[in-house]
Amino acid sequence: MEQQDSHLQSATAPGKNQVHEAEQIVTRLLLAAKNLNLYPDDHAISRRSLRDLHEQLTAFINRYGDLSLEVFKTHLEYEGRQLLPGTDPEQNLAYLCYRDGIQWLIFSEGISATELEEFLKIINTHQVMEEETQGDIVTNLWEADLFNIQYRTNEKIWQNEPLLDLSSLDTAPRGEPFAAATGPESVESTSAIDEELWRLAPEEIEKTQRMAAREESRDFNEDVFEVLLVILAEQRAHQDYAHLLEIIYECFVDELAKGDFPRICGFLQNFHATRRTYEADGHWALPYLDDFLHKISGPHGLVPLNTYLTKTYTQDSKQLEALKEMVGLLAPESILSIGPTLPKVQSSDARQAIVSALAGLAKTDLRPLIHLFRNSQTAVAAEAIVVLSETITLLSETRSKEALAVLLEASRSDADSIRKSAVFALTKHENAEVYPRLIPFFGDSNAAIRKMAFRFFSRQRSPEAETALIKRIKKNDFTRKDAAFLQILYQALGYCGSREIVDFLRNRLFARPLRIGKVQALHRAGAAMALRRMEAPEAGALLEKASKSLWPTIRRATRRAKEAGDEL
Amino acid sequence: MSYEKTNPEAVGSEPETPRLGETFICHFMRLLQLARIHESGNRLTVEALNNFISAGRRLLDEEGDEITIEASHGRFFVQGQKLLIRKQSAVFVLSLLGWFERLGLYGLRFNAEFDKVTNENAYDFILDMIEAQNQNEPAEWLGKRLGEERFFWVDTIAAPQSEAGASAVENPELAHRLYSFAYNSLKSVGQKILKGKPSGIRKPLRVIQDITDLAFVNNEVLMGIATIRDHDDYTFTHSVNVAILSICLGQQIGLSRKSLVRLGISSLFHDLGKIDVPREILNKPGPLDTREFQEIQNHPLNGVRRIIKLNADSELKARILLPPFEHHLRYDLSGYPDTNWNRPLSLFGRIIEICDVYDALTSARSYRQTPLSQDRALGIMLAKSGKDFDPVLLKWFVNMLGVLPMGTLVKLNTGHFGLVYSGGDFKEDHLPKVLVLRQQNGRYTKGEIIDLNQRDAKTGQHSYTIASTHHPTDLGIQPAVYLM
Ligand SMILES: [Fe+2]
Ligand SMILES: [Fe+2]
Repeated sequence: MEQQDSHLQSATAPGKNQVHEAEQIVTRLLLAAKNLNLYPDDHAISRRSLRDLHEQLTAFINRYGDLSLEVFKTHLEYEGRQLLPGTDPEQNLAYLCYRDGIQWLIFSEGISATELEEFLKIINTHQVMEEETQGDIVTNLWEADLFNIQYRTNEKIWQNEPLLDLSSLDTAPRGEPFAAATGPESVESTSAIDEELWRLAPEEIEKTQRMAAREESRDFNEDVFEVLLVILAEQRAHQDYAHLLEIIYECFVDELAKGDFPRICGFLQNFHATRRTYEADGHWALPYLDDFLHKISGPHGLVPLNTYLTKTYTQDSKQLEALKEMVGLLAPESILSIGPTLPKVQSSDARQAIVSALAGLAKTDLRPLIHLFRNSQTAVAAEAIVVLSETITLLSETRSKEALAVLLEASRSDADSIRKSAVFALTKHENAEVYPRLIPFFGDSNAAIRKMAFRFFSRQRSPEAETALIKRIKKNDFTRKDAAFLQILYQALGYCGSREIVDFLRNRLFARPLRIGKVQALHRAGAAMALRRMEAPEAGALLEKASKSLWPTIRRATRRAKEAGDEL
Repeated sequence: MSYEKTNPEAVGSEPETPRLGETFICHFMRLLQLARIHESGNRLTVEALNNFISAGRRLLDEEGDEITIEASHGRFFVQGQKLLIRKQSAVFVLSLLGWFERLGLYGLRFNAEFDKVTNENAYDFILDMIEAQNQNEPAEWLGKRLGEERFFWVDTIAAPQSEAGASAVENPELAHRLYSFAYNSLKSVGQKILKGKPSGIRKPLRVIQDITDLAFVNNEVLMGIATIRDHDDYTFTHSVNVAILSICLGQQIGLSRKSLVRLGISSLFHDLGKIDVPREILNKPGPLDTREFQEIQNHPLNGVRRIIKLNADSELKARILLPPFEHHLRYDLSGYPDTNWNRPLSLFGRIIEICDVYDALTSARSYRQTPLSQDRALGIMLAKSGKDFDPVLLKWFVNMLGVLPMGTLVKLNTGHFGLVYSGGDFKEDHLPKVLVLRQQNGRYTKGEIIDLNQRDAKTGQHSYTIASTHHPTDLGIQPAVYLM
């Protein structure tokens, strides 16, 4: 007996250094916990204190074996020796562990820095014990299941709990004991149960395994969406509403982060169906639903979507379709939340999906989009115009006026990209009012915009376009600097003009050289170009005649026009 | 295997074996630590090897033919006796427990041949213990290695399977404590809700995690404790029973421990909505009128409402609210609440439904004062398989409990009553063990345990047969009192 104990003693008695090193580790543990609390996860200080802790702990374990700490209310003990006597109990790791009923903490070989970090974060999360909470250090450690940080608990948290006195429980209503034993149901028993009914076949066992495996990766948001909508549909108590919607909101955000758009679409459709019923009934809870819709359409709720759009490159048509549908089911103010992301969207398909969806939303309410245009940086404002352009196609004529005014406002912007978007948008709308507005862009400082305006006219065969061009040319306010501009005007006229303009062009081409100045020569050259662009036979005949003119200037203008290429 | 039943902290007069066992464990762990660092020839290693072997031999001298070390629910059992965790040895005991846990190793048996072990043999064994850590299935791998001839003196002990007919009396105090804590914590949540106070779920979560741990160690003791019935406060014992049975069933079909906790919490709260049903309706002896029935039918949805208002993260609540909603919908969705729900029941919804109906059928209710015996309840449920219940899961459930579940009251051919002590069925060789109830002064006391498979040596006939099955309520007894 004595011999055994001395064996035990020699095997367990720690050296002075060993205890000191254990103390150092606990100090480092506290420091690392503190730093993780103070600094962001990736901060150099928290990283370093974690690394130091890990290194020292690993060295300790290699030298002395697992570090097992016994927990007391005011201190930790290592192999029966009190560590760090006199430490402030409030800041003590020991106290927190003690409070939650941890009796032993064991750090074992192979421990990783990640495990330590997770452990410390759990400790930090539970610095303050709230009265009613969902867990504590123990439940979190259980959940974390850290391989090399083991713990043992006592039953401290159950200290005042009485044990159920089984003999005091009534198994049945009082006063009718044994009589039933001879009652009818005791006559037969289930010895007759056919074994076939309960014997598991191999394929059933396999099926079960699949069911169990599927359960491990269950998506709980869907549960929430569906169950809570059932509850919403017949909800009575005001105060429950906030709770319900809060949960749905968090699941919405979470699901968004996963990028499961089809599921969110399903939810939003059901949500709108419920909302419509409420609206029809004048239900008191309608404002709650509207608040909810605003909340999920707000910048905070849509953070995961914006992250998705900027980080993910997707071409999957189903996903894109769902994305478009989902955004379309949000409130129009989501334009303000998603719009700023448009310039950064990874996939052009996704961008197009978003533009279309936002246009749909703007159709309901133009204000957020206009706000986005007027209050954003250039790149975003330009995107707002792109959306606006698509919106106009969806609007009735009266409502499109307002949108058009914004486009025109944008077309006067100093920023090329905004002007470009605006001109492009204007060119898409074959509205007589826009023709004269577009002509000035023949002279835009930006070549792409000039081209855009020209192309637009070139494609037209409308009297309005023609009238607008002739009106502009007849303004006669050109100087020699406007040579290029004038050229484009005539060419556009040539492309879009009708036979009616041949007379006008003839006058300009054959104007008496004596009577005209240098600017008039530009008109002659323009008229020749316009005739060259026209497809009408009269135009060809006229050019033929001009090429034989007695006047060299007329002949020269004609020749140049004939020699000109197709490009501007 | 006999487990210590005395209070573990009463260390007055210590028996010899625990001390020897403790020494053996300490030297075992010390050797493991040294062997990781040093070669076999190192002085410290040699010393540790000598200590390990001599400690083992002394233990064998005292105890006879073998040494068994089993790790169960965070404790070691040496020679079947729970090892105390004392200050002097805790570091080694806990470290070795950690080893066993990490390896997934339940136990080791050193047989009488341990006498012949050389230092080299022992060192090889220790190296394999270390090497096992790097294997995918460490315990299995170690078992195979120890099957080799050179390890004639040691082998692994597999964890007892509940269906292997293991005794139901393992960890009974623990089961009783956990049951009580689950009961108390649920009741406390209910009381806070009724008072309109916020309620967290810290304690329910703690206890469900513990029950889950126990389910991996000893499913059977949990099924035994889940026979507790309380007619007066039915909903609380019922909910705890359903939680325990659900966790056991989930464990049988291979769910992970985290999923089992979710299942457990979900089932503990499955009837939380009954808080809103007036007690007079819940306990009404006669049939319910339409309005009363509607009140009852509201409880799944009210349950979800109550769960939503618990003080816990939305994420956690999102994980547990579907099954309470589903638990009366039935497998074919013919149940209530009556909404336009058309999704198939979730796995947890199906599990809870089975455990819920089983517990309800086998409990005395105000509207049905005589509960069904356990085997009859299963028979009735099997008849509705595929309609009310998931047929495959119901089979698992019957297999888990046995056609004659633990706690069933049986009347034997001898006229005695007994409780089914370990689940079985009516087939040859699968008959259960029965705890005979002795009547003394009008009360029933534990009698002997008889194995119904046992035959009379002369006639070759079964010595005892079951004449009829009943519900323990017929005798007004709590099976758990006798089974634990
Ligand atoms: Fe229920
Ligand atoms: Fe129930």
